[in-house]
Amino acid sequence: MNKITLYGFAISLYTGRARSYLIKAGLPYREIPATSAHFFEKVLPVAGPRTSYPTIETEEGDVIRDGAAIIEHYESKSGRQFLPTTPKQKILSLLFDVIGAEGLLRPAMHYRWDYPAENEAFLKYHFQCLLPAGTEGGESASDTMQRMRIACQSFGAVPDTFEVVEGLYVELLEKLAAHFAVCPYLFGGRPSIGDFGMIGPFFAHLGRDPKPLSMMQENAFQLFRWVERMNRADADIGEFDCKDESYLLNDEIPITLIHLLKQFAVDFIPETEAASTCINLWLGENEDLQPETPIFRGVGQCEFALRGKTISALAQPYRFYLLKRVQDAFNTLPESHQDEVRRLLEQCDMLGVLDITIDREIVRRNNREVWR
Amino acid sequence: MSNITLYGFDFSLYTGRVRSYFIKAGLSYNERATNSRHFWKNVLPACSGKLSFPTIETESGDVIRDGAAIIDHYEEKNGYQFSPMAPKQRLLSLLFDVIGTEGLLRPAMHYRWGFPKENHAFLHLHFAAVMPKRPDTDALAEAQMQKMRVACQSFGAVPETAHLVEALYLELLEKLNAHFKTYPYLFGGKPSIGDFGMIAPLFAHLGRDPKPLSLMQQRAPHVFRWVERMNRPEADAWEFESNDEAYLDDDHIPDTLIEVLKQIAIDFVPETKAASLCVNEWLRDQPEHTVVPSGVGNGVGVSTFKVRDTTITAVVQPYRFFLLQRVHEFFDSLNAPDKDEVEVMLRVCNMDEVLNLRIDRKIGRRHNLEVLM
Repeated sequence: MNKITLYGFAISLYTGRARSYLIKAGLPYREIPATSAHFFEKVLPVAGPRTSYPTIETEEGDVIRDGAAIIEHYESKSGRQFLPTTPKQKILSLLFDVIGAEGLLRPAMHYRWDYPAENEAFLKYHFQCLLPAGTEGGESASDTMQRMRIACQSFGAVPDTFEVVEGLYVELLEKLAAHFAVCPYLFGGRPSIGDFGMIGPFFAHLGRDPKPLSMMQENAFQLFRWVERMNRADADIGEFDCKDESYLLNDEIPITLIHLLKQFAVDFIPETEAASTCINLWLGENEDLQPETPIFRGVGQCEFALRGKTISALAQPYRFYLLKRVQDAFNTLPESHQDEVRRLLEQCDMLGVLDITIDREIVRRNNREVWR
Repeated sequence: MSNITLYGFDFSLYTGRVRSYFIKAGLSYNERATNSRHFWKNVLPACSGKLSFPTIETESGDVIRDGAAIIDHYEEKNGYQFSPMAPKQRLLSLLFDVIGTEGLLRPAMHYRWGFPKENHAFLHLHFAAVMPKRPDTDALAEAQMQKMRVACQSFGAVPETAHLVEALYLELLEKLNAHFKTYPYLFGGKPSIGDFGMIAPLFAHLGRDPKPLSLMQQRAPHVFRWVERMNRPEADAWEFESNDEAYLDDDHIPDTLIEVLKQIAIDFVPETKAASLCVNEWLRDQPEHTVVPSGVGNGVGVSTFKVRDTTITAVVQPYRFFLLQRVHEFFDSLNAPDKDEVEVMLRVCNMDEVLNLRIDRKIGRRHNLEVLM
C-alpha cells in the first residue's frame, strides 16, 4: 500500500495535529514540504486551490486539505476510534478540539514571536529551510518572519496585553500539569479528538520553540510528557500505575479537567461571544455573498475585556465551523444526556459554547470551508 | 500478534537507542516501567537477575536484556535492514555504535548533572515517577539522584574537567550540525546501526534534559532535527531535496562525517587505549564466563589519560570492547583491498588506532549477560 503524503512543516501548528493523529492511528505517512512540481501540478489545483498545512494525499491519491477534514476522513473510515462515545466525554472532546485549534493562538504566537533572544535563530533555521536564499521572486526568511510576526499580532498578543496573556498561560500550564499528573490523556488512557486538537499549539509552538519549551519543562513537566506521548505510536504511559488504554469508565470527567476548562473559559468565552457579534455584523453587511464563497481567515477585529485590558483579536469564522460540531453533537443527544452535559458545562463556565452561533452556516466544498 | 514490551524510561540513555530502532523498524511496542509483579517474577529472572534498561519481552514472550542484543535480534530477523553493506559505511556504522554507547558519557553526564538550576526539578520528577508511591517518595528520589550524580562522575565529568568536556562537546555539536545540514542521517537518507548508537546520549540526556536541549536548539538546529527525526516513524527529511531513503551510493563517506570522527577521536582514542590496558590486566586472572561489570559506576578499574593537557580519570568498562570487537570482526572479514581503503579512511579520521586496540579475550553473551569467553 502507498503511504499517505503529508504536506506539512515542523513548525506549523496545524501540521502537528494531523501528524500526531497519523502516528497514533498507526497510518504510514511521509512528511514533505509543499514545494515539488507534483504538488503544484496535481495537488494544489484540487486543494482549494490553496496552499495550507496540513494537506495530504491519501493512499489512493485523493487530496484532502485542512487538519479537521483529514482527521474526519480517517475517523469516518475507522469507526471513530478516537471519539469517546459517552455524552460528556464526547462533547468535551469536540470542545477541546475547538480550543486547541482556535483558542490558544495568543500564547502560541506570543511565545514564538516575542522572545527573539531565545527563538530567533531557531525559527530562522526553519524558515530558511523552506525558503532557500536566492529563491526566484521569493522573499528572504527574515522578511517572511517579520511579516508573520506582525500578522500574528492580530490574534491579540501586543505589548499592552503581554502581561495578561502570560498570566493566563502560566495558570493554564499549572492546570494542565495537574491533569496530566493523574491521566495520561484528556479522558484517560487513550487520546481523543480533543487531544489531537490540543497538540496543535502545544507541539509546534509551545512545546518545541525554545522559549516556551524550556518554560514547559520547568513548570509543567507532566504536560511536557503528554506532548512527547502524543508523538509516540505506543500509549507511552509507563509511569502510570493503570495501564488501561481506554477512556475513563462511566463517562467520568476528572475534576482536574473541570479546573482546566474553567481556566480556558476565562478568555475563550468572551472571545467567542465578541467574535460571533463581529462576524454576524459582517454577515449582515454582506448579505449578497454568493453561496459557496470561501470563508476568510478573519472578517475583522473583535474586542473584549480581559482582566482590565482590552484584547483586540481577529474574528475567525473557522472557530464557528468547529464549534458547530460541538453544538450538532449536543443536539443529537437524548434530553437526559443533554441535561447532564449542560450541568457540566455550567460548572466549567463554558455553557456559552452551546448557544453562541453565527448567522450563516459554513460547509466544505471542494476542499474549502465555504459559506452555505 | 502481541506487541513487544519495552522495559525502559524516557530519561534512560540506552532506552532511547532501542525505542528509536523500534520506531524506525515499524515494530509495535509498549513501553513499561518495571513496577509490575510480572516483571519481577518472570522477566528479571530471565536476565539472570540483572536489572538494566532496556530489557524487552519479544512478541513471543522471550526476554532479551541489553540494547545491542535487542537490536541484533531484530536485525537478524529482518535481514539487517539498518546495516549498510558497503565496507566503509558498515565499519563506521559499527564504530558510531560504540561511540554513541560508550564514547559520549562524559558530556551526557556533565550536562545532566552539572546544571542543577536548569535540570534539577525536571530530573526530580522523572526519578519520583519511577519510585514506589509512598509518603517519602520525594526523599527516595533525591537519594537515588544523589547516588547517580556521584556515580556519573566516575566517567570523568568532574569540576576539574568541566571546561574540557564542554569545549569538546560544543565543537562536536558544530561538526554534527554541519553534517546533518547536508544529510538526514549519518550515511544518507536512512538511519543505520550507528545512528541508533548515537541517539542514545543525544536523545535522553543531550537532546531532552532542559540545559543541553536548549543548547542544542540554539547552537545546532540541524542536530536537534536529527534527534526529532530519529524518533519519527517516517524518514522526516523534509528539508532535504532528495527523497531517497537509502545509504549514499558507492560507499561514499562525506567529509562532514570525517570531521565528526576526527573530533570524537580526540578523547575516544586515548580513552580506549588506556582502557584496553586496564581491561587486559583484569582479564588475565578471570575464569571463563565471568560476567563483565556494567552499569553506571561499575567497572574493572580506572584509567587515566590526557586530553589537551587535562588529565581525565574514567572508570573502565569492558562493554566498550564487547562492541568494539564487532568493528574488529568486520574489519578482519574484509578482503585486502577493502581493508586498505578502510584503513586509509580511518587514518584520515585519526581513528586508525582503534583497529589495534583489542583486548585479549572475547566477550560473548550467556544467559542474557555479557561474559568472558
